[in-house]
Amino acid sequence: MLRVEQLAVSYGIIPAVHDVSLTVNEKEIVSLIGANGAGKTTTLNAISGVLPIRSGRVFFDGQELTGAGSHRIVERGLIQIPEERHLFPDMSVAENLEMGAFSAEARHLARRTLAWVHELFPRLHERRSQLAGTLSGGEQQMLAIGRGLMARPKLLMLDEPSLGLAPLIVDDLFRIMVEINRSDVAILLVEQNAAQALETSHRAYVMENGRITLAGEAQALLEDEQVRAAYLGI
Amino acid sequence: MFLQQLINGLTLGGVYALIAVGYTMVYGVIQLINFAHGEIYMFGAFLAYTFAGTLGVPFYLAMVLSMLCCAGLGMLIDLVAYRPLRLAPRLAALITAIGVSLFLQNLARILWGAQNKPFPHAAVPAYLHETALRFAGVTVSYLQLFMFAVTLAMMASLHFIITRTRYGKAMRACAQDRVAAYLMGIDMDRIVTATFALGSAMGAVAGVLVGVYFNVIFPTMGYTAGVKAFAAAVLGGIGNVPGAMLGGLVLGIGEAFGAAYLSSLYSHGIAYAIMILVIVLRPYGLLGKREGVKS
Ligand SMILES: Nc1ncnc2c1ncn2[C@@H]1O[C@H](COP(=O)(O)OP(=O)(O)O)[C@@H](O)[C@H]1O
Ligand SMILES: [Mg+2]
Repeated sequence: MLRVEQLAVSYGIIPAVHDVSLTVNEKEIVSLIGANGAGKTTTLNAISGVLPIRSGRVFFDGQELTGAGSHRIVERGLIQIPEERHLFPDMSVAENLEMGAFSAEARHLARRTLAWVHELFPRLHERRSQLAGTLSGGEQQMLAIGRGLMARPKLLMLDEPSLGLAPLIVDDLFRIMVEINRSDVAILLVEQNAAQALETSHRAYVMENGRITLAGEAQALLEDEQVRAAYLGI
Repeated sequence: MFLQQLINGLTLGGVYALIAVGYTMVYGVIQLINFAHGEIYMFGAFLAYTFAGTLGVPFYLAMVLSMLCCAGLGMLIDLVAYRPLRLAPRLAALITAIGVSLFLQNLARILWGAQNKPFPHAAVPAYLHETALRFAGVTVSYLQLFMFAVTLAMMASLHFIITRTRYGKAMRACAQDRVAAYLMGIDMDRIVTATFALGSAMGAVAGVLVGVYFNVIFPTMGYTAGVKAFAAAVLGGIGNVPGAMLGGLVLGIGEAFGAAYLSSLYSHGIAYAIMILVIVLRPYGLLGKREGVKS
C-alpha cells in the first residue's frame, strides 16, 4: 500500500535521511523505532509532503506521490498525525475535527466518521465545545488522532503519540490504535516506546543515523539481542 | 461636544477597523505586512468615483462593483507579487509589498491624475449629506448612519465567514498552525487567495466611505489611512480579527478627542503615539496573545 524507495532528505545541505526504503501493506501495523534524532520524523514529513524529497520515490495505493502537494496526498488517504500534536489551539474540539475532514470526500462522510470518532474517544464528544488548547495532554493526543481519522485515512502515520503521556493513558492509546487498525486502517507508527510498539506491530524497522539498519517481523525484533540491548533496555 | 466627538470618532474608527482587518487577516495567515493594503483602499475610492461619477452607475451599485474589483485586485497582487516569494525570507516579501504600494500609487496618478478630486455630488445620493438626527446639540448625518450600518454589516459578515464557513475556519486554522493545516490537506494557496479577496473588499468599502465622508480622494490617500489602520491592527494584536476591530474603534475615538481637546494638528500623531505606547507597554496588543507570533 505504501512503498518508499531509497528516500533521501536533507535540511539545507545537511543530509538527515539516506536511502530509506520501507513498505506498509494493507491492514498492517508497522513501527519505525530508533533513538532521538535518528530521522524518523524527517522520514514521515517527507512522505507526507511537509519536507521536500531530495531523491527517492513514494508510492501509495498504486500511485506515485513523490513531491505531490499535501491536499493530493491527504485525498488519497495517507494521513500523518504529527509529533507534538499540532492542534489548532484556539478552535474548539468540534472545529478541529471538522478541519480534519477538509477534503471533499472526507467532508461527504464527515457525519458518519464523526460518530465513529466519538465512539472511539467519548471524551471528545463531552469536550466538543472546549478549546483544543485547554485540553489535557492525553485528550489533546486523542483529538489529534480523531482529527486525522476525520480525513478517512487508508494509512495513518503516527509520530510518537505516547510522548509525555502517563502509562495508563498510553495503554489506552495502544488499545485504540489496534481498534482503528481493525477497521482496515493500516498504521505506520513511530515510537521511542519500542517495547510497546513492537508488541503491537506486525513488522518493524529500526533506524539509526538516518538509515534503516534492521527490519523484520516485530516478534523477531523483540527477541533480537541487539534490539533488546539498544532499545528495550534489557 | 463630548457626545459629538464620540460619534465622529466611532464613524472614522469603524472605517479604520474595516481597513485594519485586512492587514490582520493577511498577517495571520502568511505573516506578511501587506503595505499595499492602503492602496487597495485608495483604489476602492477611485473605482467607485469612476463607476458612479464617470459612468453614471448608481452609487450603491458602484460601491459593490468597487468591492468586487478590489477583491480581484487583491488576489492578483498576491498571485503576481507575493506568492512567488512564499518560501523566501520574510524581508523579501515585505520589500515587495512596499514596491507594490508605490506601483499602485503611481498607477492611480496615471489613471486619474495627481490632484485632489472631490467625489462628484451628482454621483452620491443628496440626502446622505443631510442631517438625520439632532439631539442634545449633536448632529448625525445620514452618511454617518450609513457608515455605521455598512461597517456593522461588514463586520458581522466577516465574523460569520470566519466562524461559520469552511473557508473561514480554514483561514483561522492556517493562522493557528500552518503545519497542521497543511497535513489536513488544506490548500494554503486557495485560503490565502480568499483572505486577500476578503480583506481587499473590506478595504475598498472603507475607501468609498471615506471618499464620500471627506469629499476628497487622491492617489496618496492610502498612505495615511494605511498607517493608521496598521496602528489599529497592532493595537488590537496583529493577527487577531476582533482585536483589529477594537483597535480601529479605539484609534478613531482617540483621534476625535485628540483633535477636539488638544489640537486638530495632533490628530494624525495620535496613531503613532498609540503605536509606540502599544509596542512599549503591551507588544502583543489588546487582544493578542502573550506568546505572539508563532514560527
Ligand atoms: N528543522 C531542522 N533543521 C535542521 N536539522 C533538523 C531539523 N529537524 C531535524 N533535524 C535533524 O535531522 C536529524 C533527524 O531528526 P528527526 O527526524 O527529528 O529525528 P527523530 O524523529 O528520529 O527523533 C537530527 O539530526 C536532527 O537534528
Ligand atoms: Mg521525531
